[in-house]
Amino acid sequence: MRLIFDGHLDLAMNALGYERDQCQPVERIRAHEVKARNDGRETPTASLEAMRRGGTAACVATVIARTKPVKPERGVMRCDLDYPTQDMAHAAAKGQLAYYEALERRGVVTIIKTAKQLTSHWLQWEADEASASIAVIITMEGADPLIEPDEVHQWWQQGLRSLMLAHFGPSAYAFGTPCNDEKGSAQEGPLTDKGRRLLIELADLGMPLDLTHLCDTSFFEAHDAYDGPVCASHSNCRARVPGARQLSDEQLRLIIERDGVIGIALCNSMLRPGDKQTLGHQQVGLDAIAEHIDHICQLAGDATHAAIGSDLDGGFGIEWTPREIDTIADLHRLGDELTRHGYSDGDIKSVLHGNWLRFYCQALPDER
Amino acid sequence: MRLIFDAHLDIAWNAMSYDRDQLLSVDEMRAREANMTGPSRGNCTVSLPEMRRANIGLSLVTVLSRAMPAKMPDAYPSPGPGIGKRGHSEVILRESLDFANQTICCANGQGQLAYYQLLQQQGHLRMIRDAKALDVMFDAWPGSPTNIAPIGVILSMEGCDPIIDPAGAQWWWQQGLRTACLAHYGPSAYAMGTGGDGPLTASGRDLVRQFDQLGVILDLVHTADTALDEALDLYQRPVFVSHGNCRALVPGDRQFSDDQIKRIAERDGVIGVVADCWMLTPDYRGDGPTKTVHLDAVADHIDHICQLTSGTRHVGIGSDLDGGFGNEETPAELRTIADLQKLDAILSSRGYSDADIDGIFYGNWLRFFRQTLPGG
Repeated sequence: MRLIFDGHLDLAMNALGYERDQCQPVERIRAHEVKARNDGRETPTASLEAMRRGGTAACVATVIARTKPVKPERGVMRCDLDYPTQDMAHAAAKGQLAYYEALERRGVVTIIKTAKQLTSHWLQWEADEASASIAVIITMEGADPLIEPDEVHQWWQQGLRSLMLAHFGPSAYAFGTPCNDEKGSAQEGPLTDKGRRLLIELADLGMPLDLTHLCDTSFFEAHDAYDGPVCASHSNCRARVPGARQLSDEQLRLIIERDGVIGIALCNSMLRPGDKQTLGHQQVGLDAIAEHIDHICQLAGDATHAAIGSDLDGGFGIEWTPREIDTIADLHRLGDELTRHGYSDGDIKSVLHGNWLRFYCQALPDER
Repeated sequence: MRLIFDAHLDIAWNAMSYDRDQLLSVDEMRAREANMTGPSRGNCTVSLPEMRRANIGLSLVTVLSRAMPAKMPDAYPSPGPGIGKRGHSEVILRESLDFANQTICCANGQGQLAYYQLLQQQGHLRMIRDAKALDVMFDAWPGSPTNIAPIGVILSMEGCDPIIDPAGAQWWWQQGLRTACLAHYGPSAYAMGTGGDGPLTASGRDLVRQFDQLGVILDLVHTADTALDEALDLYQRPVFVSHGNCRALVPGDRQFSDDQIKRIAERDGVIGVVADCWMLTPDYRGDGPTKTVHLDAVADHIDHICQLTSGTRHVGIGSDLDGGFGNEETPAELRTIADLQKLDAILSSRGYSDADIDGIFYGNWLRFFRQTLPGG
């Protein structure tokens, strides 16, 4: 089985926000939460146990908490991402980081801080899967947990190795993916002053900047202002699925030119145009993923920039995943799909893990 | 205005689970919850500015997070309105205390710790780790309601589920944890808590020994009777009750029997009385607009402890005023935590001397923690 490097998962959010014990098989998590389905949650598809079974040797895993006004008309559900102050978002994200640290103490994951660690970890997976823990690179999805830009140095010390400036809507640092749910709210915006200062701090550290979730204005500004490594952890192609959440060909080319990597998300609404009625689990197949990968490979002229950023359980469940993906253990099926599309074994390995491996081996510091 | 040492507040839980910005005034906090439903929403009584108005310069503040045991008791008795109901409702609210397992519960507890660390960094409070720091904070407290000096806090844990295993106590100790009670409502990984009876678990006995070695001060609140007996035998250091009232006045296992109070006093411990109506008066089922429970009831519990222990050195305040309830469940005269000061006149009218009242307001806790914190 080919090993997989998944560029985007919200493991801690699922543990802390959704009561999902990431060490359990997905089937057991599903059984556990039958009684708690009324908060809009869908059927989970990911866990560390399933990742191990499916050969996902490494992933980029998030801390995610946002600062947004509370919506007082309803109680605040535990799975909500929004806190009224950055102080609280900061503390919530620290709690998520603590989850990864606790898993590391149990030997389930290893938090990767250096290129050397990542390389040796990968060699261990290739030599003996059974004895290797899952490599986790910590990222922050939306920078609200940083109260001030220079705080990022402290997070770097604790293991943060990648960062997105915003998530949906405005953050303290940039304007994220436009949300249509609030009438009359702005749909676009530049980086904030704090955002511009944060880029200077990130450059100091050489922190990879993940451009996923930025609205176009913020995307181009951040891209131009930042000299360090850039990627898009979980973004699909706007040419195939219109909408601000996807990247335009121009944006994809900019990332490719900087030897960045783009991870394809496995959410049906980002794989095919349509709506809930036309994009159900049975209505979209792996070929849709292959088409996005192929689109990036055609733009790049080779297979060294497209990768996976599955985002499984990133606020959606099996209801929004392609029919061949029952759990994250099925990701390897994408390899066979790419074979059918004429990809060589070498190219398939690049897409499934090699490109992220190269990106992070170059971007991470050699030594601590 | 006298200094108050409050031995029990859940500051971080209120911030992280109720979205209550502890830097706001109580009125502003209430206004933000005006349109919310749910127990205690719009009724909060505690915030950092309000603690300053109350002249609370010293406090125990908790990490409060529970791991849901694999098997829940079928019909768990609710000890009071809106309190202690365990198990998942259909929608899991952020304020729910129960997490899927101890690893997740520990991570959540560390989020609360991070909140205290942030407040410390911002200068709003300072964590007291030893007896010397306690004295420094006590001496430095300006005692004026408009002061902006950091409030001195001792980091506590209410229910030890966030300590994943007994060896994990060391890590929390290094973070500044200085007191802990073993359980909360229902069973924890370490002991049976309020609402049932049972002993310490095997790892509970280990944890108590760890606490003894490290110097984590054992808080006997929320510990079931059998577990309490066991813990008292096993643990060699002085013990206390951060927030508990008298069973002789209000039947129920959330309160402490005369015998328990005497044994705690024999170890030179202190019992903090709680200002939550259902622990102040028997058969409390919630008040309507006309409040029937008065601050006098708090004095009754103080008085009972003083009579039992033949003196005033074993009682203090552990208000618990942000412990999952609000103004709907506080005595009539208590709109916010600042009204704790009204106890001064009540105690004085009952014949307590100036020195006695000082002891009850802060002196007894000060003495207890001077002795029991490291370097004491």
